[in-house]
Amino acid sequence: MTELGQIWRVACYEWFDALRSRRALVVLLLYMAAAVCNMHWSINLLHKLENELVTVLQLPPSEHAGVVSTTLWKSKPFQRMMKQMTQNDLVLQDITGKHPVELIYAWFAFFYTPLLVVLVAGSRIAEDLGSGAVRYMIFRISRSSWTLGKFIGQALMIGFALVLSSLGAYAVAKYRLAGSGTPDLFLNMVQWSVRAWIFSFPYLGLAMGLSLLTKSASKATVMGIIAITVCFVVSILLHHFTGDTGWRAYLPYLGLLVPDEHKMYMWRNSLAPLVTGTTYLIALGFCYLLTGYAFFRHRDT
Amino acid sequence: MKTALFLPFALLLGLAIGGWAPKEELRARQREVDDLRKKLAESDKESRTDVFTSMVKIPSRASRPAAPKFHASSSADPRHNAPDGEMESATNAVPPLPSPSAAPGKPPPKPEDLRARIDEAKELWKTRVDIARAQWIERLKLNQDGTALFDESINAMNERLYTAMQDLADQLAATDTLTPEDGTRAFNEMTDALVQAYDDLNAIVPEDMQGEVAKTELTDFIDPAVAEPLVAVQDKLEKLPRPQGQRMRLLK
Repeated sequence: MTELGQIWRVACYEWFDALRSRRALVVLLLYMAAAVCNMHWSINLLHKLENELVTVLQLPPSEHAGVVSTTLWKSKPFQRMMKQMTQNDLVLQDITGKHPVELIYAWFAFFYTPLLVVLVAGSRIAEDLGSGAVRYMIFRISRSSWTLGKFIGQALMIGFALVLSSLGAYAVAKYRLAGSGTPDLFLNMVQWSVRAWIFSFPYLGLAMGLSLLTKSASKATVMGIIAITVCFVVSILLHHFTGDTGWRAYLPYLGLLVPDEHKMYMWRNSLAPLVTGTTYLIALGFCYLLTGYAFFRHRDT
Repeated sequence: MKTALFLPFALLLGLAIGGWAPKEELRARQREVDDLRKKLAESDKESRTDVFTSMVKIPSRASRPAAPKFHASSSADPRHNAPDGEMESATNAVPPLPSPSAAPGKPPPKPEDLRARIDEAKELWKTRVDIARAQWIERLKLNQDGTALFDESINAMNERLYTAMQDLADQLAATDTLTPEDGTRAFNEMTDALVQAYDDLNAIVPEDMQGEVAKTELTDFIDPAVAEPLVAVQDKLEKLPRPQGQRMRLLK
């Protein structure tokens, strides 16, 4: 069997194992619950905010959430406010006019996916190392194929869960916004799920790369959580300390190694930033994973 | 397979190196855009001084810092200050104030200072007014007497504008405040000077040429030195609250 065949076999086994142990169901439920609850609450919140706004403006209240916000997008002062918030003209141009519910879903998807990835996939390799199950596998296939197979299996499972969760979120949005005259959001939500999935790649690589360093599943999860927290903090610090002169001018290049720095590429509409962002994020994911693999390859299992 | 494992690292390195130059270029352009935006925002912050000086076509800031002048002329005729061979305008009737930058030991004025702005505007004006004067004399088909009367009208206009500015400066020096009524009256006095100049010009040209007079841009002939009385009260003008709403803007 070729190396690629071995990787595919491990990835398929990862799915089979997840289905057999009901793990797949738990992952799916977790993502679905996050997406559905987030959609329900965000529509509630949006509706309340809009009602407050129309009260202040002395206008008749709207029956459905999103009607006021969609109109608000067209106002220049509101666009200026959003520009200050996003601090990125190009992203603002691309998201202007989109339905607020869709944007809230996208924002949450980008926010919770890394966390869920670390919680769900962070312990997968460490469990096999701890139980000794890995010995049966690496007797037949190479360690690299096993590592990459695990990674691809988990990535596909997360992608599937994200797309299904967008279906759940869409169903809630469709029910709550029925008759509001809003455009059909289904394809847009699936698209945002795919983007969030690509964004989750480096976090998955980071969690699984760290998982290769320990035999304890709980330790691997904790290390994963610490690692993504460090990533967020580093990203904030880099923005804070970046300057125009001296060593501060080189800080943005250090940011290339942090996934959060490439997030805005995934919020764009045009192909060039999307392709660049995707390439960066997937490459980063593999780099993190293979750094962990470099420690694992000579380790006694 | 082992070589393939290095692929993501190579790709990341390639992306980082490949993106270095464009990112640097982008940063430089971004800095330029930020500077331009800052300058634009600054130019929007118009003070009360600018409200009056813009009417007499004085730039909001000098394009370069004024060079210190150590040989101030005591002559009241500005034409004596002109360098040899420079075209002399016959339409400068405003007695110049001694330049503060002329005093030895004093630093040269900043580009935002009214003195520097007037000095720069005067330099440009001398050349510009001579060209405009020659064009209009030819266009209005004026003879020698007509030309003298044309110069006289322009000089009278500049004198009236100077007087209006002097009145404004005196009032501000005395009271430290400028009410909307004072501002409106000052503008009225200034526009009245221009209207009177149009009347004077209409009187010296034949009836069939009066349509041409109406096309004359008299602000081209305003000597920037008419704003010199404001130099003494520039600080007070800048400290005054900005005009509210669109009222003052409409007067501009």
